[in-house]
Amino acid sequence: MDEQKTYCDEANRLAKLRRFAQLAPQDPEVHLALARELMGGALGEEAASELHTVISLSPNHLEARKLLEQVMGGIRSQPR
Amino acid sequence: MLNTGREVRLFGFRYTTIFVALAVSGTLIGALLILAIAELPSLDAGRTRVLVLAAAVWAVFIATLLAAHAHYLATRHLADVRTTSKAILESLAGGVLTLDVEARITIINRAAAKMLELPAQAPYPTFEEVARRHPPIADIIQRALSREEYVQDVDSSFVNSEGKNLVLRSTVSAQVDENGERVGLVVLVKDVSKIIALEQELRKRDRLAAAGSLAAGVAHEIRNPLSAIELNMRLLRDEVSHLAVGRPDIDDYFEILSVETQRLNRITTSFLQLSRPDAVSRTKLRVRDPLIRIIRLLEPEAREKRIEFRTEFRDDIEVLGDATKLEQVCLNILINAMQAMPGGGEIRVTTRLRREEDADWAELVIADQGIGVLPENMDRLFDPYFTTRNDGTGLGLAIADRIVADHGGTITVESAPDSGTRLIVRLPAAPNASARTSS
Repeated sequence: MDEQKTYCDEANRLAKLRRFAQLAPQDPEVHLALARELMGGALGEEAASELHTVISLSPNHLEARKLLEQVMGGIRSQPR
Repeated sequence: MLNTGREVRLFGFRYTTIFVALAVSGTLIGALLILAIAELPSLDAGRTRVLVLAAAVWAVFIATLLAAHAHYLATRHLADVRTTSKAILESLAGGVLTLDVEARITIINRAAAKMLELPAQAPYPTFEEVARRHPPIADIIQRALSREEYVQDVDSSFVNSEGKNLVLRSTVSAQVDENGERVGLVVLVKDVSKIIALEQELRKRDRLAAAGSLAAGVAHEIRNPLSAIELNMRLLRDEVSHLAVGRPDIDDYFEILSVETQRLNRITTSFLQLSRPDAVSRTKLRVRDPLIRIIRLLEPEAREKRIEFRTEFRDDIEVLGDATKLEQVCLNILINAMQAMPGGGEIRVTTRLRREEDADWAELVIADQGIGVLPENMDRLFDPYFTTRNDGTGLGLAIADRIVADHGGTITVESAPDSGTRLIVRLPAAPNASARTSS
């Protein structure tokens, strides 16, 4: 039951963040939060896309650049 | 002048004395005393002439000796004066350069030779050679020589062989002889680079402090209501989304409100960060490490933009600093350099150790081939929100400057339009790093 609740919460959080990202497309912090959530859910390519958005909005965003490097490393190491 | 025949007794003997005055050109320079044990024969005219002649020869001999001695003393005094003058000239911290009226260099003291990178010993360079290396100084010398326009404290820049940008302050005056006739020029040169840098730094800090203290309070007060506005606006937008079907203009209003509140939020947050010094957690790290990390992060983007990083790092220079904050400094500066090169090119990144009297400094030098900075913008480059790009926030360099200042360092810029920009980040070198590192 608890596991079910956690799963629902995470799914709900992801949906909310996606919605926020749509509502505030110019806010890098919202996209970053969404990217982190996507990384947690192993959705690397979508996370990378969100991180690219963060970097285009805020080129000096150090954390986003480090996360992107991490995500890209993960994507490249996946078997095709 | 003779005085003869006086008898004196000395050591039990009786003498007869003859005094002969020794004079040259009417000036008495001594006397000749002749003691005769025997009775003197009478001095007839012939003997007197012989005696006077002998006295004259003797007088000339003594006068020559005295003149030679006086000449020796005068020469030695002159040599002493010259040595002292030269020692004074060489000990001066300021540079001294003298030229004759034909623009031939007659003296360059050690300080001037060092500053201007000219030989300190003869043969001195020609005026044309000086003009090639120091056109602004040659120009004021030329004006002084040809039009007698003497100037005071004229600043000019000079990039020396070490690549250091110096600001030289020159004063030109006439050199006159004892009759007041002009025989040449005296040029005084001072290296005022440090003073200028300190003045700029003070002006910058004053501007930041004044703006910071006023705006930090306002920013702090704005942030809380802004967060409430933003949250409620998002909820409202979500709530009314079904009512706005077929009304794209309503969505546009929300869009604008959202973007603008986000922008306000970012501005106030950044301003608060900028206006208060941040505590720095200091660990010993190699100064090249943050650069290597950031260059690796930026390389994919750089490749797309046809930008190449050329690096030259020393691995033995260490600083005490916050690794993440120094990475932020490197990122902001490198992003700035990349944005200045829309057509691609090369960014040179080097680290070096600079030893100075007061401390050792680790320097990170980032040189781009970009569009450069206009002279009127140089002073404002690190001001928050100053940007020349339409999509820039004007915070990148301001934040970098703030972090470097929190580490006890400085950032200086050397640039000219269309000739690229060089940013030099100076951080205090960790003590043992400088002890075992040769500069």
